[in-house]
Amino acid sequence: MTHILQIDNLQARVEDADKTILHGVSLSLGAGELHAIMGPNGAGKSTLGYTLAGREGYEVTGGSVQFLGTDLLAMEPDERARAGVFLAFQYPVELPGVNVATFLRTALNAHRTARGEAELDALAFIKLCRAEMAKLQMPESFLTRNVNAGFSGGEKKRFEILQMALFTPKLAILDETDSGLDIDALRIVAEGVNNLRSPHNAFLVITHYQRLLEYLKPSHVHIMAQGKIVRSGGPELAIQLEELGYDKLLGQAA
Amino acid sequence: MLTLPTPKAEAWKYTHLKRAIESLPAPAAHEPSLREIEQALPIFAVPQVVFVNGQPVADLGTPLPAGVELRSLGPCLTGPAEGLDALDTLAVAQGWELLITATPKVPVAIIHGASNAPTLLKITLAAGVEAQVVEAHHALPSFSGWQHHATEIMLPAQAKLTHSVLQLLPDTPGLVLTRRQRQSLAEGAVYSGTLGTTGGGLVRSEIHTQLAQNCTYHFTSLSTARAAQHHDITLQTHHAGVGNTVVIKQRNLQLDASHAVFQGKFYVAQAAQKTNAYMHNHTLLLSDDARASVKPELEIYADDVKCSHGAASGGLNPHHLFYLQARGLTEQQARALLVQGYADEFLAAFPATTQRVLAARVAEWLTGGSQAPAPLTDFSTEWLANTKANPEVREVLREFGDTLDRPHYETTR
Repeated sequence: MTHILQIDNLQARVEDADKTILHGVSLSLGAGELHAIMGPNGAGKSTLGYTLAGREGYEVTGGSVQFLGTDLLAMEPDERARAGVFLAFQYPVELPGVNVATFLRTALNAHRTARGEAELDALAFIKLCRAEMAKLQMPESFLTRNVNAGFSGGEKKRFEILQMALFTPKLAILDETDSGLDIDALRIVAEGVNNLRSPHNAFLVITHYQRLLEYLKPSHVHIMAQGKIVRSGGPELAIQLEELGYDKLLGQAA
Repeated sequence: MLTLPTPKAEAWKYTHLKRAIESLPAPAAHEPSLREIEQALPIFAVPQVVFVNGQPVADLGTPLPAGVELRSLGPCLTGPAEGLDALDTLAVAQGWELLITATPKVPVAIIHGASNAPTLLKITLAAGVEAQVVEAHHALPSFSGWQHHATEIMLPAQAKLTHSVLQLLPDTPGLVLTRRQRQSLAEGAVYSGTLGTTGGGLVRSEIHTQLAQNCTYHFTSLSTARAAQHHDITLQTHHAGVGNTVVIKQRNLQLDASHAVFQGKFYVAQAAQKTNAYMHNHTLLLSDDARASVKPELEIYADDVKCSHGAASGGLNPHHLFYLQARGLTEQQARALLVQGYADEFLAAFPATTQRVLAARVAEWLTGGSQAPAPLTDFSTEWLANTKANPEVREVLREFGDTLDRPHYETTR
């Protein structure tokens, strides 16, 4: 089986907190797989996402990460993105004055150029964008707004999924994309993810709730605590967790 | 002997005009031809008057709309007898007045070609008249020296002026422009102003505003500077009567070792109850050497008012940069998009007449003028509506492909 992502004993420190958060994470994602990562607050789930995306201030102190057979950690954040790593932010940032359509087209063309494809002209871009927005039930007026400025929580998350749909990453990391969504928005976002699933890509979904996983049907579920993966299993692990809670489940494991 | 202001005067604390003028090189001997001037003029696509050396040039102008007339004031001084400083005492060979007696159907543009002699323009509206006036200061790259310009605006009761001033100057270190605008608003008058400043060596723009009562005064200013350029915006607003509303927003975008100055003062007289006034300055420092000097002031004698001011200076937000890099943009692309965003927020306040001209200059500033403006599509609501609704627009877009990605302001005369 082809490996999309191979994390081996990854250790990382968050400079602002002056603290080591990841204490040796190992994880392997095959093509076509969707892995869910669950775990109590402070377990290091978001840190894992940021470290994989290459955020400044997240310093790798040990271990390795291979993405499609190359050393991911040696790449700059933008190189990782163009190579096919997508991080859906837990808290997408507002960019004052930056028009949604201009942003999307600039980013999409950066991806296309990296893949050796021709840049899309304005009209071809709008056509593609409209089609993807319709799937996520986003009104076209979205294109004339500024990136995340004044977006509701649900709009921000949908916008992250729209970007994912346009950039067609090989590896998508969803950092609590389900938090702050109502039931309808959750279903739309989940459908957006399911539409993109293919035998050629992989998903790493960080979540607190079983509800999203009911829609996404993960192939693997991992529980993270204190900077490590402490339990791994199939979808049944998430159900077990919902019933028992972290204390009991991890107590059993210990 | 002219006593030029120095930083010893509080109003000139951050701008050493005397030193700047005394260190100017001798003016270039080259007198540009009308043809050279014409080719370099900004295009506003509205009736215009072009001043060269303080005189309107008929060949470069177009007929003014009904209700608008330009008349000579003869020899005059740049300011009133009890003026602020030496800049009010300069002799103008011939001043001019733009007199607007009935609401014109279209905006009017006044282009001030650079001149080494002081110039003066009065803009006078009749009561209840609504007008849009553009003033653009323009200089050829061969121009150097100092120009002082005075504009006096009279808005009687219920008059409404949309006034857009562009100071789009070449990046000539030896170019000093001082502009002092005085305006007086009678009861219920509305002044909606925008100011765009790029280039030059030292540019000082002052606006002194007198508000009677129930006036509305909105002002948005965007300045982009590079190299060692010095841009100074100094605003004094005198609230005399009740119920005035003022919103002032100023933004500086600064590269290299440029220096931005913002001085804003609200004086609220005891009679000026129910004043609602707000002023904000934001400076984006895009280099370690760029500087900002900001001095907001409130002097309030009334007790039932809402007056506030705010200021923020700093570089680009690293979270913003990371978000864009995580979307595949290089750091350079990310920076350019963010800076463009900060510019666009303020460009949106400019009337259509001047917006595109200024947008083109901001794009040049961003790319260092060494390359053509980045071909960004203007994804406006209008644009989208057009592509969707209009089959002809769709066809044209298809035919021209990416060439239509260039902004619309690149039309030729």
